Amino acid sequence: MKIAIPSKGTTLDSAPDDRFGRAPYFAVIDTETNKFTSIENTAAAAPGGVGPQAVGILSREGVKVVITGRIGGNALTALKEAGIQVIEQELSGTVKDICENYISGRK
Amino acid sequence: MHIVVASGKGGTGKTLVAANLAFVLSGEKEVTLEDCDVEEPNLHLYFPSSVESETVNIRIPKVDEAACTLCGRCSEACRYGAITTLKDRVLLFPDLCHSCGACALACPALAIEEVERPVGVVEISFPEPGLKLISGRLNEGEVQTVTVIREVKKRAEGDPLVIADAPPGTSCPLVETLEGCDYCVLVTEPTPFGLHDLTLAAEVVRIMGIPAGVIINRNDGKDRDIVEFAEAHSLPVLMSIPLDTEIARIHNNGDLFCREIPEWKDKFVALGNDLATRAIRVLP
Repeated sequence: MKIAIPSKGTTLDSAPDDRFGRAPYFAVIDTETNKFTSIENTAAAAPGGVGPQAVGILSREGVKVVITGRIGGNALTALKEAGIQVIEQELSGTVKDICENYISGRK
Repeated sequence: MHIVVASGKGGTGKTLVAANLAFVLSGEKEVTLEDCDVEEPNLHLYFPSSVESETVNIRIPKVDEAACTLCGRCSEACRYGAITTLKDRVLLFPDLCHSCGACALACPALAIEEVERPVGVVEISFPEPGLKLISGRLNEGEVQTVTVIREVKKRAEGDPLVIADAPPGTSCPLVETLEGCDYCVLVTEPTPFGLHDLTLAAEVVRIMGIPAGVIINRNDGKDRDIVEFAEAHSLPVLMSIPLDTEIARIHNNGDLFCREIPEWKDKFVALGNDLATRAIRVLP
């Protein structure tokens, strides 16, 4: 299963980005294969409606879970429509820490 | 001649000035009064009458799911995030759509057609002899303010004398209301907020190259800051309306103080003449 975390950089050691739609990258981790991919959020610099566009990117990537700090109303609607689970929580550490905490919490 | 009554700050007396000016001038000539404050129109309260109502529609995309290949070109073309391509379908956010039509143009499968969606109404009435009132009203929850204002203005095209009651603020709705006008009356009040927002509104008309003057409403005599600002920015003070319980009482009853107090009728006639010379002076 693929999970996505908004990220400020392109590596597993990057800091998470508090914003969802305006985050420059998404860290995508496949929990079955442990494969990490960094996806550029091409919607980040658009003038408006960036939340739903970012959801489109993640949906097409096959993401099932998003862990995010803050998220807007339109993005939430789009995530729900896309069948992507949303976990809103305070983000700290690196995207790797957040991912590991999520996986260990599920066990 | 097209005059806009604006203010920056809400509640300074735009509607009071626009309603009374239109009423007084309609006694002499044909006047069209526009309520461009479409998020909260209130001119009709001063001119109750039967109205003819027209729906304002915008065009939004409709996706034929059978023809859609989920290529995502529509979403890439949309600058407003109003159309999102998910893994298995296309999701629309109608209130983000600006009706530009880019998604339909970008679709290689021709799966997008544009359909109409109502966002407001325009109401036309003839409440007094010589007076035509055009009121725009944006539907609750909608954001296409400018579209409704444009529809109001369209229905006054070619009318000889137009007085527009502008929305408060200094953003797109005000700019749309001001577009193409000959003169702007800035209504303010002698308070720090009144001066602050007058400063912003005066900047908008300056940038747009529209000549303007100031009316000080609810003037309690402590108007030195406003007068000094007006002088410094070459804005004539066109009129001063005192802080007066009788005027407030009449206005709050939905009546026109120019109808009730003859002295004020004369002052608004003079204001109309003053505006006519000021607006003509700048016409090419």
